[in-house]
Amino acid sequence: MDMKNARNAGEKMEELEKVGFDRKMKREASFLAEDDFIKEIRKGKNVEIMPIEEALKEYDLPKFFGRKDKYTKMVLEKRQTGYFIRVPEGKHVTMPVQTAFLLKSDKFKQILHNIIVLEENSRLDMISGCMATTFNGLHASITQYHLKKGSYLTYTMIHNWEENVEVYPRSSAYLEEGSTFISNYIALTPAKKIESNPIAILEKEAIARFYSILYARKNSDFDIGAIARLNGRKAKAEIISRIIAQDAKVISRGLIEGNAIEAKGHMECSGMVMGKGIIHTIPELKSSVANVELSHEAAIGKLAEEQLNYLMARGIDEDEAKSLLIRGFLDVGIKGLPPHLNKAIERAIDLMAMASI
Amino acid sequence: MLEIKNLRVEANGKEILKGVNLEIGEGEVHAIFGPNGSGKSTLLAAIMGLPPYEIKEGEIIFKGKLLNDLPVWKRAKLGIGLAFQNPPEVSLKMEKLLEKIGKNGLQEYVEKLNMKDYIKREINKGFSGGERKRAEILQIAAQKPDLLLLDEPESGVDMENIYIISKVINELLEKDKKIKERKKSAIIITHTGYVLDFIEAKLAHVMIDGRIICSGPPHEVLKNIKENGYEECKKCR
Repeated sequence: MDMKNARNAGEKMEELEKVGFDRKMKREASFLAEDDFIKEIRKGKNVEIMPIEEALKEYDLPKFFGRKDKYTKMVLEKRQTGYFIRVPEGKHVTMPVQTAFLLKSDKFKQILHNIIVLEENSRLDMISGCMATTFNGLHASITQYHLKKGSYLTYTMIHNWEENVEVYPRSSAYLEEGSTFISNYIALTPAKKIESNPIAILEKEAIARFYSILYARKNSDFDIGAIARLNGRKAKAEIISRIIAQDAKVISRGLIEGNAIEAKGHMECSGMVMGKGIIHTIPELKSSVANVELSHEAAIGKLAEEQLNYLMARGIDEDEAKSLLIRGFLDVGIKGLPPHLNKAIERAIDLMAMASI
Repeated sequence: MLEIKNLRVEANGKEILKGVNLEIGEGEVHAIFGPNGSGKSTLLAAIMGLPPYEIKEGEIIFKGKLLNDLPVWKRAKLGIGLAFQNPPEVSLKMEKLLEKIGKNGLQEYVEKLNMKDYIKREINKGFSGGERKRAEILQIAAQKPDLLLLDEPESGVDMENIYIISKVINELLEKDKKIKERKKSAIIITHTGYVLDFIEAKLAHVMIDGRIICSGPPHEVLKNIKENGYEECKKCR
């Protein structure tokens, strides 16, 4: 590693906090991997956490049913590391579990496999960070979630990549009756390519909410979305995104399928285009039975001059006013998170949005 | 404090202010009356430096400094605060903005203006007319300007809210101090003049077609307008 990269790596290690990996905060358990090896694994009293390799020997693990392409094939054939997390039946874990993956070596291909299982009526909050300290590289992963009856999982993923890094996370979530899955995805730094389109299958009265907060800059190419299949009666899904494309391209996808009566789905995308940015929204609703309620709305606009002038009339200079408006725009108001995780997200957005102008 | 000399202002190529002269001393409150489209709001926007208003001729001097080419935010920093007539909805929580403006003792005004529940919300989103006006005055209270520009603070506001707003404006204008000791000034645009029942103004001006055509004691000027209408004012040109 040359001096520039080494310095960058040093700075970035301290910046793990930016993606939510914070040794000063109270956490139930921690998992940190660098490139293809586990750097830190701190077990908790209330959850099981182990390297994926161990879990594969010990458990009969759920099958991946997400998108099948060369990246999932790569993971299933060449997985390097990853975690397995299991919350026992009825256990409500009060402190979050934190995980982080660091892409450190130049041109490294990081190939990961993670599995999270929540037994019946358990609850877990996870904060998961991914970042690069090298300018070139690739990150491919599979993450599988299995939420058993009545369980509740919030999963907040904060990404902080570099301009030449390609990122292909593939995820599938199976939600049993009455379970709730809140998935938050935050990506605010440039990347060459991010392609992520998690898929969730929802059984009776299950709830899934996908929030994406994206700030694409410097020729980044993001293709982000979510798929929710409402297979059980009264299943409910929401896909909500806030996107800024500044000299970058973002495709925002969403598909909600209503396959059972009284299922409800809503999709909402708000986009702001700056400079030579492009936002392309592809919302899809599909209904195979009568008596489902599906809706979507999308709005794309520019940074409003009127709002900018309004803030400047309060004595705030132009750059700061822009940064405040961007920050405000990205404030999607995620529901269902414990307050300290909300704060961690706000902090991550503050740091990255403020630094971006 | 403020001196405006022969001010001509255009918006999108159309002349709106056609030579305005106005002088406001320290501690003085002036009211401006005038029919719709006479240029009252343009005058405040031009003092603040807001687009699309362009100064074509004349000078705006504030505390001895020529404002003509200063950006909006620098004018605000110098001590000018504008309460907008129709403030936009802004995708930013009000408390975040107030933090940035950041002056001490704001909590007191949050309570006085009944804004406690609103500062957690995005600015003006879903606010009623009266709530917007209270939000404007709260932001002005945070700025603590030396010159308050109040663009129809009472329009769309019920009597109770006019009372609340006026009380705070009077505090910001140091009306509790002796006349000689007051340092804060204001220009108030008002259609109805109601607000002048609560905030004493020293002088009122009537603006017609981009010019100030007469000035006098506020209640006398208002009485004349009420009795004879602006048509009569136009004869004074």
